[in-house]
Formats: sequence, C-alpha cells, structure tokens
Amino acid sequence: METILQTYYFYPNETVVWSLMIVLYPFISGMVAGTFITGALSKAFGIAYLEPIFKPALVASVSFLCFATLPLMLHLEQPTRAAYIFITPHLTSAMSGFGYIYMGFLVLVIVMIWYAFRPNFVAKASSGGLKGVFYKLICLGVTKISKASYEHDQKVIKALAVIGIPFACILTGYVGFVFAAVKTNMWWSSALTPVVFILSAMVCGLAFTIILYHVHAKLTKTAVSSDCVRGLVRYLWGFLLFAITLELLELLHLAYYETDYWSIIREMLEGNLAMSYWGAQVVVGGVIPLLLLSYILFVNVSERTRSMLAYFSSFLLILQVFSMRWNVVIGGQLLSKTYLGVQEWNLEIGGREGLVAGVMVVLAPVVLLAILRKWLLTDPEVRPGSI
Amino acid sequence: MTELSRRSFIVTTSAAAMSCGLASYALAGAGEEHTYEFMVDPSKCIGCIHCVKACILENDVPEHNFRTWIERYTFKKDQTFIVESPNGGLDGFGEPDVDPKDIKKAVFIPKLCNQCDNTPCLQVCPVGATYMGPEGLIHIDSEHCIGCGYCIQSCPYGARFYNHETGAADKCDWCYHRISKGMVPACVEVCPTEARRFSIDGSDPLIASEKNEGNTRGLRQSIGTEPKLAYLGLEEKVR
Amino acid sequence: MDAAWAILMGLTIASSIVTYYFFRPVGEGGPPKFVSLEGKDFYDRDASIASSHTKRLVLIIVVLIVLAFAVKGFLVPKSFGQDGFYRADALVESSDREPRHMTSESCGNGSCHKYEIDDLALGLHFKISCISCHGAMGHSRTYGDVHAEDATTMQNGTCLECHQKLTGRPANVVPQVDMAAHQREYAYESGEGCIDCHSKHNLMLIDENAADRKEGGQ
Repeated sequence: METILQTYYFYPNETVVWSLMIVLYPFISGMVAGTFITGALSKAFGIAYLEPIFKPALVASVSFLCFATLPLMLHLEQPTRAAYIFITPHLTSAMSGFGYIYMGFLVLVIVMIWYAFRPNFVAKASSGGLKGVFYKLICLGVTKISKASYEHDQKVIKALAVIGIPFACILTGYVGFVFAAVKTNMWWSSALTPVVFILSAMVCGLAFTIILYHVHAKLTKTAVSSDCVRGLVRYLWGFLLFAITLELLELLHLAYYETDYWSIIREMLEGNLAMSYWGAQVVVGGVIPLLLLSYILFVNVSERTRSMLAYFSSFLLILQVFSMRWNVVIGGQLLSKTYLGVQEWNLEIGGREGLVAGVMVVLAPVVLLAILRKWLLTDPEVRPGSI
Repeated sequence: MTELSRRSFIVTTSAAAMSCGLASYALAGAGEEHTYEFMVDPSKCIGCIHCVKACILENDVPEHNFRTWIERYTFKKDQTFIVESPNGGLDGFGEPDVDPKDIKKAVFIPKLCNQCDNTPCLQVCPVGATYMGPEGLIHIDSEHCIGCGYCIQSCPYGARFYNHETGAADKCDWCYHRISKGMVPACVEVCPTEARRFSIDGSDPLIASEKNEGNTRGLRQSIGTEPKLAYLGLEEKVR
Repeated sequence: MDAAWAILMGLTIASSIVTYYFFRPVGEGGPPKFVSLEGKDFYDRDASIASSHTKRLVLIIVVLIVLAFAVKGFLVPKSFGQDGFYRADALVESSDREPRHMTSESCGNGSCHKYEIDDLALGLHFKISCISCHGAMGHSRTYGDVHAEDATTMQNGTCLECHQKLTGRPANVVPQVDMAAHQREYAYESGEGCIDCHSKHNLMLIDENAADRKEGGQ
C-alpha cells in the first residue's frame, strides 16, 4: 500500500493486545444495557405501548449479562486471578470499578426478573413434587399473592427500573470510559467515547429487542403490537441519529485539528479499517438503516412493511454496533503510539481469543436466552384480571 | 605525555573506578532506600545492541519483546526523518533506505522504561500489580497481575508487553535485582561507550551535573508523564 | 480483514432475510393471553401484609453482601497494603533475583582472569566491561560452566558489532572500518581475524608486522 507517511514505524513491543474478546466485551455489555433500558422504559415512564417487550427485553438483558464477563475471562492472561479485581480494586483505575458495577447490576436485573415473574412462580409453587419445592424455594416461601402484594411488586419494579436505567448507562458508559481513559491514544481518549458507547448500546439494545419481539411473537403464536413496533422504531431512529452524528463528529474533530495523529488515522481509514469503518459502520450499518427507518416512520406504510423493514434494519444495526466496537478497539491499537505508522493485523481462527471462541461467546447468550424464553416467557402471564 | 606515563595514568584511573564500584557495593544493603538516576547519551550510542542482548539474557525477555531496544533516527536534509528498529535492533541496522547524500544526521536512541513520576501505567492497573516502590521506581508484581493488558495500552512509550511465560505484564525495572545490590543495570554494565550511565546515590556525579545544567530532558515531555529517565541532548523529533 | 468484513455484511443481510421468512408473524394470532389471579388457590383475597417476600429478599441480599465482604477480607494477599497499594513482598521478590551479568571485578576475583584484566587496563578498551564482548557467558552463576567454551571463541563479528562502519554510528566515539576497504588497504589474507593484527585485550598496540604490511601495501 502506498503510504502517505514519511516513515513507517511502531515500537517493537506494539501489538494488538486487546483483540476480538475485548471487541465483544463492550458489544455484549452494550447489549445488556440497551435491552435493559428498552425494557425498563415502559415501567419507569409508564409508556404503555412498550409494555409487551418489558419481559422479553429483561430476559434478554440477563442472558447477555450472564456472559458479559466471559470474553474478559478468555482474554485475561491469568483468569484464575480475576477475583483480585474484587479483592484489591485499585480505585484510580478505570477498570477496577467494573467488578462492582457488574455485580451490582446483575443483582438488580435478577431481582427485577424475580419480581416480574413472581406471580408465575407462585402459581407453579402450588404444584406438588420436586417442582413445587423448587418454586417454593424460588418464591422464598411466600406462596400467596394478594392484590396489595401485586401492587407492591409493581412499585418495586418501577423503582428498580428508575434506578436501573442510570445504572445501565453507567455500566456501558463506564466501558467506554475504560477506553477514553487511555491518555495517549487519540482514537480513544475523547470525552465523547463513553457517550457514543451509551448511544450505540441503546441502538443495539433496541434493535435486538425488535428482532426478539418478532421471533417471540411467532413462537408463541401471538400478534406483534404495531404500536409497540412503531414506538421501538421511533426510539431507534432517534438514538441511531445521535450515535452516527457523534461518531462522525468525533472523526471530523480529529480531521479538522490535523494533528500529527490525523495522518495515521487517515492512513488507517483508507487502508486497514476501510471496509469495517466506511463499509460496515457508516454505510451498510449506519446510513442504510437510517434511511429505512426514516421511510417507515415518515411515510405511511402498511403494518407488514413496517415490521419487515424494522426487522431488516435491526440486523444491520447490530452489525453497525459490532463494527463500531471493532473499529474503536482494534483501530485504536493499529495506530502506533509513535504516531508514525499503522500496524497490519489479522484475526486468528483458533485459540482463546480467536474467531471460533468469539462466535461461541456471541452464541452463548443467545442459547441461554432461548432456554430462559422457554422457561419464563412461554407461560401466560398471571396478573389481576381487572387491569 | 610519554607512552609509559599515559599507561600508568590509565591504570590508576581504572583502579580508582573499580574502588568506586566497590564502595557503592558496600553502600547497598537490604531495606535501605537509594536514589537511582539513569542517563542516556544518544550521541555516544554506537548501536552495537550489546545492551539489548544483555537485557534479554539478564531478564529472560521472551522473543520479539523488549525491555530495552535501540532505534535509529535518520534525519534527512529535507526535514523529514526515518525511524528503524529491526526486531529491536537485534536483526542489525544495515544502511537506511536513503541516498547517503540526503542524510543530515543519524543517531541511535536507546529506549527503555522511563520510570515516569506521573505514570499512566500505575494509574490504570486495576489490582495494584503495578506499583511505585519506595524509591520511586515502577515495578510489576507478576504474581498479582491478572494480565488485562490495560497498562500495556496506556504506556505511551511502548515499554510494556505481555510476557506469556510469566503470564503477566512485563517491562524494564532498571534491573532492580541488580541495583538493589549496588550493581548497575545489565545494559549499563555492557555498554562499551558510556552511552548509558547509571548512578546509585550520586555515584556518577556527571548525571546530576548534566541535569542541573538543563542539558537533559525526558522523552515526550508534553504528555505530562514526567519521566525520570534523562536523555542528554535529545533531538526534538525523537518520540 | 476486508474480505472477512464483506462476508460478515453479507451474512448479516442474508440471515435477516432468511430468519424473516421463518419468523414473519404479522397478522397471525391474537394478543398474548393471561391468567387472571382472582379465583386461583394462591390468591389471597384479603391479605394485609404485602411485602413479606421483599423483606426476605432484602435479608438474603444483605447477608450475601456481608458474607462476600467477610470472605474478601481473607483473600487479600499477605503483605498487601503494608507499604502502599501493592504486595510489599513483591518488591523483595524482585530484588532477590540473582544477577547474571557480573562485573569485571568478579572476573578478576580469585585471580582467574587477573592477567586479562591487567592487560585490558593497558589498552583502549580499559573502560569496557568484560561481558560487553564476552556476553554473560558462564560468568553468570545461572549458566554454570558454559563459559569455558564460549569465552575464547570471539570472532571478527564480535569486533564488528561496534567497529563496523554504520550510518548513525558516531565517528568520534568508535573507530570504524569498512571491511572490504580495510582488506584492500592492508592486503591481509581473508582467513586472518581482527586479533591477528590488533592484539586482544591491550588493544592500542598494533602488531609491528601489520604496520609493515601497511607500508608495503601502499
């Protein structure tokens, strides 16, 4: 490749230290936060048309949450020492808080699920045998529900949603801050990075919820609420617009400053990252879905077309968010710390951090979600008949 | 000066140098704190790579990683420059890909951990496996390191790397196992030209005097890491 | 990686279309069904206590948190935090490692290499440490006896590491030689090594015979 740089150099120790697993870590934790916030919106703000996706989104959130640390464990040189991050957290590090934030959020989401499905658990606790004992344990021995306790549960769920939304923003914004805190990497160290992470987490969370809602409706042979889909699309459009705008603003800012860093960023965007940045993140994952979503929002379309286009765009948007994570994480490391060169790097296939392991990490939460969906979401909801 | 007197002069000075070395040996003891100073004089570096080889042997540095390495900056007459460090210098520098007539100046730059006072690597370690010892040097506790790689990302000098043999981050610690015993780091010991100088509690007064006269500076001072490693007469463009 | 990304984009579009074919649900089924609480045997019509399960849950969480912090206290490594936010023993461990590159004094110790050291002091290399040319050799305790073989096999390459003419190598620091030109100038035979003319340790003395040859060559 013809280089525009006068010399081509990086320090001999420089390699891509954070590879696919660290791409998946913000991707999955973004999915956790995005699906959680999508689900919690209906409870926190009383948005009735989003009510149908409350439970599916919550279950999706916990499925991803259970595997959010898996890529980290695969990445760590010493996974057996991972607990040190809880035992001796070094508080000046942007990474040290993750353990506690993650655990706190995990507890919050599990508690919220427990409240959301408590009527179903109580209903099953009255059955005999081992199954009854199991559900009695889950219900912590409280096997009766009254109208008052149901309303109490709803209040707790609302409170948890209100706490949980900022908590989820902290979780994913925090992951962005881990990157933003690396002072000498201009591709990362921007105050916008955590914001972009939060926005794109919302994009992939909403997109995943749209897909999940369609699949779930098909499997349970129920209709998709067109108000719900339109509501999700509206949020998705807004968040996507902000996400793309900020992503491009950040680049524009770097370009306009024309520091010596810009010459290697340009080199990278024209070379190693051309396909994943311009192709996947900007055009296929950004502009095309934005146009599709604008079409279904601002032009009168049939319910069927709206569902179809929302469903297609959701796939593209998940790709957009994945490519954005990739471009941030990998791109930042391709740039040499000397500002004099861009590295070549190829993903390995096998190994702890290779392609195969990466596919497994992505599939694991989906498989868990399928299991949890079967367990939690297929039974009809138990609730007072009067509401 | 006659041949004889010159030779005896050399013998006397080298004997004096040796007794100096022994004195510093006697000074060092367990539990005491010392002041360590390291100065690199690129104008004396001949690029022989003895330091890189000695470091690898002294510290069991894995292949393709470097606790210290040598770069060559070739400044051209048109204000541009070329930087090279083939395998840290081990593969030999050869001649740069420039017409010799265009070369204004070429200089070898030894690189190692800068032991910053305000270091980003210590700040980002999530578990306290990178720490500043009582003497101000930055160490790695390879028994406590979880291997997240955050410090490697944050070091602006590329001094850190994954040591897959110890399963921990690794970097130069100015041969702490040597200097705490009153010896100089291995790279300083083998440097044939005194391009690397080391001082324990002021044993090499030249370093302090060069620093006081303001002839030295740290690498990339603009980023505020406050490196302790002093470079004498460093070119502005070296990074 | 470009091809991989093209494949990934293709896969994404293809999977969206294929799965949509299976999962398009529009127009099928009605709204989700639900079971009414009222009339069920677990429905407590006139209960006044609404939050007994919450109290139990909070208790469990509090107990777990207290337990976790109690366990955490036991897991902190010994000597951690004694002198700062690190394992104080780690500093001792890193200073305890054995040095491998010894000083020239230790080469002269016990008069093993006293002659060479004294000889070196006479020449231009008097400031240079033995191991700069000889490597760590067996002089390190770790490598035991290897040095017996290696220390004497210095080749021309060893000299040229410092004395080969090289861009960037400062001429005022080391004399440098372009071997081809050197051979032409002094007309020595290609089998001859540097030390055949330049003596080894007391290196300012050039063999007389070499000086003669230079005159003869010119």
